Amino acid sequence: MYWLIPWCALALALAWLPSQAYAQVTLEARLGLQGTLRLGKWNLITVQVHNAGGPLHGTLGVRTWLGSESRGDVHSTLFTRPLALPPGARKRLTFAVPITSIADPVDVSLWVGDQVLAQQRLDLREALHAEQIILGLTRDVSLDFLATAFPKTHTRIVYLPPADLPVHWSGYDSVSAVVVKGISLQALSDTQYTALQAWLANGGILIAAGDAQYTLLQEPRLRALLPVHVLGVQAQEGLPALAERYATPLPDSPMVLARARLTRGRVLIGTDEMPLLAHRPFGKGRVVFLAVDYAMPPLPGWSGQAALWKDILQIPEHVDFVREFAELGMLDESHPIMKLFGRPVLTFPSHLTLSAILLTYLSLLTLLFWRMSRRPQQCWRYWGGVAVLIIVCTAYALSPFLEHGLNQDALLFDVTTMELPADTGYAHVQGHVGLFAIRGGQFEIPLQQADTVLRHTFTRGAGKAGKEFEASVGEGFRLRRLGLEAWTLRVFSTESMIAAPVQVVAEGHTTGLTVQVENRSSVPLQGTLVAYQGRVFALGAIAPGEKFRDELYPVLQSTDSAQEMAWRVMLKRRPGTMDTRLAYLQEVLLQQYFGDKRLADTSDTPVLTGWLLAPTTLGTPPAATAMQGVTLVVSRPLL
Amino acid sequence: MIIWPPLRRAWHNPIFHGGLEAFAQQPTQRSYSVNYVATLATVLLITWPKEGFVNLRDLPFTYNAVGGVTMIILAYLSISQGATRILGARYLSLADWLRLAPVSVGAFLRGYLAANCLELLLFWGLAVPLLVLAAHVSGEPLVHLSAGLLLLLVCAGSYRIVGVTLLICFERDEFLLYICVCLLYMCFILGSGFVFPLCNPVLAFADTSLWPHRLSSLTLPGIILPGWVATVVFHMLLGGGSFIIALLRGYWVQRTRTQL
Repeated sequence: MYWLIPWCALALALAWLPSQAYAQVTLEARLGLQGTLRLGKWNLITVQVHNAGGPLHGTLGVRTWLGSESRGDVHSTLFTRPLALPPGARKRLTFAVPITSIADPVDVSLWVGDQVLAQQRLDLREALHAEQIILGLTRDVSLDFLATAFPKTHTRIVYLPPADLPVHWSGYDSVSAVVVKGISLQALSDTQYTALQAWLANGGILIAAGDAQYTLLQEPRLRALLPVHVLGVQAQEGLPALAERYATPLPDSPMVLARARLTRGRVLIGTDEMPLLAHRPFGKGRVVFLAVDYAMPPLPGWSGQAALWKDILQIPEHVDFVREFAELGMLDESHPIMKLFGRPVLTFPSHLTLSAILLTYLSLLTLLFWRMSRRPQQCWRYWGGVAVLIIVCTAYALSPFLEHGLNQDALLFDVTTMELPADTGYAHVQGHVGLFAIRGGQFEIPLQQADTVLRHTFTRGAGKAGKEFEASVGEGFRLRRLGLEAWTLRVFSTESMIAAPVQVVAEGHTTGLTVQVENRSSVPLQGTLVAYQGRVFALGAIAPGEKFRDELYPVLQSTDSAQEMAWRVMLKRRPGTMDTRLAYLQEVLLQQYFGDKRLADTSDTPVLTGWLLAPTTLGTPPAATAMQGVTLVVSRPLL
Repeated sequence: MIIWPPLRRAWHNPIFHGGLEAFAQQPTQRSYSVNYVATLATVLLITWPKEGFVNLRDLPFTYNAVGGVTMIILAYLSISQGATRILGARYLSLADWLRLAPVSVGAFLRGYLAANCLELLLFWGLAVPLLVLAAHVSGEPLVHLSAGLLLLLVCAGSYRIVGVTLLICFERDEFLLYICVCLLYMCFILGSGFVFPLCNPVLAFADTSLWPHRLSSLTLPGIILPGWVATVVFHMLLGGGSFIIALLRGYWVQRTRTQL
């Protein structure tokens, strides 16, 4: 019977062991969109985890390397996401991560506490690379001809089922265009559809091609995006308009094409009542309608196909030098945060105030000593006075009101520009974040948007920055383990797409224009201005939830400031405040956005600017960190 | 409660009382004090950062400049004032006091040093408001400031004891005393920085601040001491050693009295 006691004890001990000890996890990671990467962009990493053991609560991480050895700014970013897997569960997670070179691999790992349960190293040299990726949402592989249609640009075609589409707009960063044919966008989840819309608003291209199933083009989601209203299908002998446009004969064989009517945008080929190729801008992006099925004969063998698709895609062949230079660190010194640090952003006393303090201290001390020499019998009283003077002066010097900024562990600055692409319902948020560690340490920065993209980061200052940090993308976006030595500045450039907190509509009429601004945010939109035809109209502050409508008449407004720098005019008319630091933040943002352009050059179409006097990129930081943030809202409504 | 009995004993020490009276009435200390504060204020004003600018290339200089100058002046004042008699008439030497005073050598030295340290405390205290101001604009946390003030106090205190020891040993030869004071001062403030940096109080002060650590750590069996802590320990040993030498010299002087 006694042998049962150790047996039971062993059983109990095993029962108390952490469940992770039993976890049997397999992990499989895949690179990019069907193995295709685009360097310099954010690419997808899809990770599939299967748990064959006990319940698991761990963290899944993807580590990438950025920066350059020659510049000395190489750093790794670990993107993490909490993972809970019940026994026998299988889960698929996607990460959008920046990949700029194939030199360093991408490490994927799953860990619980300090124990790594599974890991995989992805060699980027084995991946397929492209300068342009076209994503096909089609039932066939009929877009393959596009891979050779652009001889100067290495193009790859990727076909994905709707279920595999990214759920964040950043997942499309490597994609140049999406082609939809014969697939219903209604099959996309809400998050997938939002991601697609947000990507379009930020410069993506969506092409919807005609198909025998024309009803798919009439479905609500696609209808909301298309430049045309699809009415049905019609049969036709040949496409003379196409042949004429590209000066390439096309056989007159019978074809079926979608019959539609232009509702917005512009017809490129055909007429408004019968558009063959039409497009409309959607924010910074475009939505293209092609009435004909490009996969139906005789189009696949037609030699004008390449020219047609160049017209459809209109992908600029020039390099985005601003972005390239920024990522190479060539624009670091002109970064808004660096400009900000050239301004008096701290509030310690001036030389004059200091002189007054020192003079008072010295005068009182001299006075006490003089009295002491005059009345030696009462010298102990005066020595007491000296002690009191020292204590009072020390207490005054210790008081925090003498200097606000440097009493914190770190200073955080968030200067954000929020552009409102017209008629999209989205806002493109470009954040410039600076973390200045006064005393050094490990810091954590919360960001407001979960799908924020970190475009660029660099450090300046007397100290050094840690070579790795963590970007936790689970619940909200947090930058963790930001190690900075004392007196070091770390700068981040971020980008995100959010639902537009301010809605702007403008209508032109013979004598001017009508502007309607609706503030849907929880913060007042202050100092709202409309610049139009070199004139500036002040709309004032718009309270949260308020809808403001005004008639603007440019002929009645003076044009004195039309030749002045746009940023200077806007700065003069900013909301009045006593906070000089805020004025510096605003000045830096306006300079960054408008550059050296004159008011007359920037306001040929209406430009609305306003201020949200709150950070839009950063969330609430830890208590020991002082944060100041301001957001410039810019809208260019269509007339 | 532990420090109360020694404080009470010190208060009842007649030598301390005598020193205290002399210190309160001496006009030279007041003149020194005003000049000392004026010098530190000038340094603070010169090194005060431009209004509100953050210079990313250089660490804040103000705190280290003011702290360094305070250390240099305080060290000289301590060692030189320690080597100057504060008791009695002009023609009555410290050896005479030791021979004539009806107290033991230990009590005499403790009382004399306590009176000396009061003077040291005055100079140290006068610099505190200026150092706090400098620390404020240099982003120094309170911990660094406390460490810096402690270092100033310990180093100046130990130099004071060294000065008193020199006075007891070489009181009769003023020239030799002057040479010893100057040599030791140069050795502690300047020479040690090149030969044995861990003993240099100015480098140790910079080591307590935000600046990159100028002093290497001292590794002892089972313990690693930061550079500035090693400097504090060294100066405490220096002060203790000097006190023992002064005590031995005092006993020798008293023994000659009994022989007489």
